[in-house]
Amino acid sequence: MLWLAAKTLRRAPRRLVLAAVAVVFPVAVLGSTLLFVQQSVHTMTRVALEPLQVEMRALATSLAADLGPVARDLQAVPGVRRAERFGSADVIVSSPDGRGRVTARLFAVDPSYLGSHPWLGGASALGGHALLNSALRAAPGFGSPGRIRIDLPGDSKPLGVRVPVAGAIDLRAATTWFAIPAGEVQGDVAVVPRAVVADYDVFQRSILPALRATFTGSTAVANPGLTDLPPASVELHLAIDHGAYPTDPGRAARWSAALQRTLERRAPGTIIVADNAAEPLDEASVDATNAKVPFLLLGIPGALVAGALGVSAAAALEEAFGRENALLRLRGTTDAQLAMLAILQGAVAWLAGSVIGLGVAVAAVSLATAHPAWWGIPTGQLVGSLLLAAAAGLVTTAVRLVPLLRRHARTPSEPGQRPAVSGWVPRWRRNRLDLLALTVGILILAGNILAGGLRQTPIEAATLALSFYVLLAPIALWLGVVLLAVRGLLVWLARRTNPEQPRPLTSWPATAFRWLGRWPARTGVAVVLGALAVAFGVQVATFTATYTAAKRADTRAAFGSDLRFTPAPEYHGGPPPLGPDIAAATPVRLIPARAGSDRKTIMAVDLRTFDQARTTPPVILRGHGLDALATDPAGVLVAPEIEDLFGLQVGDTLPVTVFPDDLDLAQKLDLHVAGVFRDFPPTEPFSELVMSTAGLPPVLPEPDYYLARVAPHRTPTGVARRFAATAGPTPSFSVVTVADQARRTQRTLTALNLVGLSRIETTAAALIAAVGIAVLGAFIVLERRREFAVLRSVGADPSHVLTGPAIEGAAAAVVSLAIGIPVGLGIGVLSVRVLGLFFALPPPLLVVPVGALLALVLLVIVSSAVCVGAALRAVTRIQAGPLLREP
Amino acid sequence: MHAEPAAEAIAVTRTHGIGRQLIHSLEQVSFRVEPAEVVAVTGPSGSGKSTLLQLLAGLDRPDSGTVWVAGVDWRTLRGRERARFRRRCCGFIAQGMTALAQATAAENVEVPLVLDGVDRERRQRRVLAALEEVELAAHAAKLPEQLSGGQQQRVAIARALVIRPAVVLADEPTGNLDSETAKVVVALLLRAAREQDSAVVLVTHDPQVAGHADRVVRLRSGRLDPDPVSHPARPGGS
Repeated sequence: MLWLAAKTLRRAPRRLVLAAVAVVFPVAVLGSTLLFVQQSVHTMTRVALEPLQVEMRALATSLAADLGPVARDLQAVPGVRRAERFGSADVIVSSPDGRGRVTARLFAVDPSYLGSHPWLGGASALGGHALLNSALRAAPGFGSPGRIRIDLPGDSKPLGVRVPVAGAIDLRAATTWFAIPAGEVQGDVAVVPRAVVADYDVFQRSILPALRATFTGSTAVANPGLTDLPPASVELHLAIDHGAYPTDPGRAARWSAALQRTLERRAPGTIIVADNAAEPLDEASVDATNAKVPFLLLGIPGALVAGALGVSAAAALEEAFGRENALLRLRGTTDAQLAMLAILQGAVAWLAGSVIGLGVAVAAVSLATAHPAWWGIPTGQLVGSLLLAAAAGLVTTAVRLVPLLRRHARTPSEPGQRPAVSGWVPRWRRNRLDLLALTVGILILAGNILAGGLRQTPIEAATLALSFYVLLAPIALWLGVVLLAVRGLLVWLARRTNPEQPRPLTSWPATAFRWLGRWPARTGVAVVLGALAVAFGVQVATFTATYTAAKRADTRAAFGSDLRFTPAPEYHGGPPPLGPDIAAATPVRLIPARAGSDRKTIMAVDLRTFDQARTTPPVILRGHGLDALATDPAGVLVAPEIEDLFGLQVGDTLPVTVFPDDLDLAQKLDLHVAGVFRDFPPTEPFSELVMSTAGLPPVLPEPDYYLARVAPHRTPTGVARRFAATAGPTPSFSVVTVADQARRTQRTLTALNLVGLSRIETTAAALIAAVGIAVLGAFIVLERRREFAVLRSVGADPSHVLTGPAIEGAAAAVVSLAIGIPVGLGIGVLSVRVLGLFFALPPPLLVVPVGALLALVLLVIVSSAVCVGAALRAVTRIQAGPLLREP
Repeated sequence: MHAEPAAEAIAVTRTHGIGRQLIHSLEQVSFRVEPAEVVAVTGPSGSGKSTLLQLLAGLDRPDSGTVWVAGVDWRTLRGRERARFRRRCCGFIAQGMTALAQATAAENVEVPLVLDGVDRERRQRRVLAALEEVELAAHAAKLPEQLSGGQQQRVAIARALVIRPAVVLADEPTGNLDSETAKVVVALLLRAAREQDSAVVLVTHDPQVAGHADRVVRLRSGRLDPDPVSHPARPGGS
């Protein structure tokens, strides 16, 4: 049997190629989609970990704990790169002349710590010295002190530790140091304005003993109700090797939790390990699941249509198989042997097709992502994806073989005969698959709309839960609308070409068109495949363009304007100068506040300049906007979560404490809720409350940054570059563009590279449409040779003979585009609604990427023309003589 | 002075390769058909009958020798001219069912006229006349699948005759038909051909069909049988 299979395959290699092509497409499309999903998911861990300043904090449960040996022990744990000592405490800092005496937060680290953490800005050498932040240096008496005196607050015996000052340090980005390390609000940032950084050795030698004496027993970190920075703590900051985390964010979160437990077990009772990576990894894990949604939505139709193409392509083999089987049966081969032969041949075709298809998938993903497709994917998952893709080829092969095996007992078809001459009623038409799919899609959508599923919640888009069945709606409608359009076309064609209403022939092309209408089966299959593929390609391209445009709009809204100027720590000179480059600038202050027991951030804006400098307007859900703040300085605009949390309504009073961690500036304010905003750019970093600086205490800190709008005909990048070039060695501002900010703050979900997948899928769609036409061409050559020979015998010249096939090929391509493009646009609109999850701002109806669609259309036309051209060439080679001798 | 023959093959040789073997399908065959003459070509399978017919129709080219139809040497015609000459002068009826399946009976008959650019009115008239000739006018709007085998063959005959050819070349026109139907079909073919003075070359295995011819020639292994074939008695003829 193996010998026979090998022999038949050797004798008919083209048949093997066609059978393998039937497998290549579904395997390649599904394989590339799965590999892309895997790659995207596996980059999420890296993206999630990137912004982390310190992955884990080992918090001593007692100040008496000796963390030296613990550090050495923890450093030995696989995955831990460094364990660095860290201490903090509330202190009183005095200037040597006694003029300055303020509360401050003391941080103690080893000098090497500053080198390994670049987010600590402008730090000079620390060894044995202290560094002051800008707020402390701005305090009276601390302008340029040679040394400072550190005491502990309260009634304790004056400590009087004197430390020489080495310089300044910018702690504005050091959120980890100000983050509450444990308890129910773990991670909340307490904004303590004044801070001093001391050498840990000094801290250990001179300050820690006094702290130990003051804070006996357990430290505050052991208190689960902790809502403030602990008055004193010692800890180890653990740097974890990012390469040690599993690339899958879900597994990374579990690995991180396991590492946390392992570390705690190394010093049981001595330390509590806070896992800073847990939250971003959990979020990335949810994002990874959500990310699979668009990939599936964008990938499943491609795999389906590729599978259909495979089955259709393989159908071209039926006649050849029928003839061969008849011959073998005559020579005594049994039905069981024939079945086995067909299975063996199918297995070889599947194997060859799978290998090629997987190769194509790997190459396509590698090209789209610019690194090897298997990069970062665990072997097990990689193998699983490849096997699943190969299984799609197996299903295609099985779908092809089953009817073939069933037909073994039947007489092989008459050579040159085509299926159902008058009219074409394929199984999908008989079973009303179009109407069924449409009904399913409409019912799902209707149910979802009634349940409010397609409306974005105003709180956070990411909280939307997408049920898988909702994704079936666009897929069902895609299938249903295309099939319905083809059904309508067939009905129209059947009416136009009804032989019972005879009309004289007009021209030869019109004759060919009339006959196509009566015999639309093969062209109909090509149109169904082509229209499905084109609609799919258009949907993918438009969804991706909309996603990209919405992402850009989100980024702009997050940024708020063209440029951000962040003043240097020691700079107190006002906004960046306006001029030919900068048209407007406005200060933005992020004021720490406490509402109830919750820490919130108020964005304080300067109403005189804000509207001129912003580029994206706020979106107000209820009440008023900035105009109300102008008339009522105590007015405040709140985010919906504040409205929900405190049960507020427009007009209510919201009591807050501003600067709650600054004893000098802390002040209670009764704010009036003027409105509720959905988005109030700049949204990054996020502020739950917005108010005018006029409503805040008169002594305000320097702005956190200035928003600036560039002058007309200037680009933000160009202005930023010019500014950096002319700023000198000690610039007053650092300048950031939208792109810089987007890179820094990207969330795993917004980092999805849909463009790469879109390129793969749209190219596949165009090729599927073209190969559908190539299959039509194959049928033309295989099935209609005798018809062409008859035409030659009655005096048709080659151009006459080619007219029919050329019209059929052109009609298939044109009708595929004519149906596919509008359907794809419609499904694109629907996909954007269904996948509203991925848009922070309400997305546009649809962004039509004209260039990408033109490229798709061009690719369909060119590749179809190549396929039709090959078929026509084969038709011209047909020898009429031998064919006319066939009975 | 002799009248110009409807078709003539002069010392025609045609070889075909089967694997590495060369088969002489026709060897030095000379053959002449007078206008309005009906000639039956008989012979065993593989004797070269169909090859001879296809050479006469210009669907194949001889390795040597010349083939003339209506005074034109096929060698002088190329490409479109060749196709045009064929549709104007040669009515070809191939083996088996040759009606175009997607075209009605009338459209099948109309095809050579459409290809030739005949205007619509003349086409209509001639198609109707041809269908009446083969007694199929009532079935003009039917597709081949709605016609019997005999009716389909009559469509093919009407299509061959509608151009009023110099010669009708029919390759086993009754091969797939029962004897009664075959008799009717051949009678219709010959009657219609005679009515428009077309010569007929009829390739057949069937002695009864051959019996309708004015002359019978026999091919054997690619050569014309030198023995004269006794003229069969024409059924009902003199």
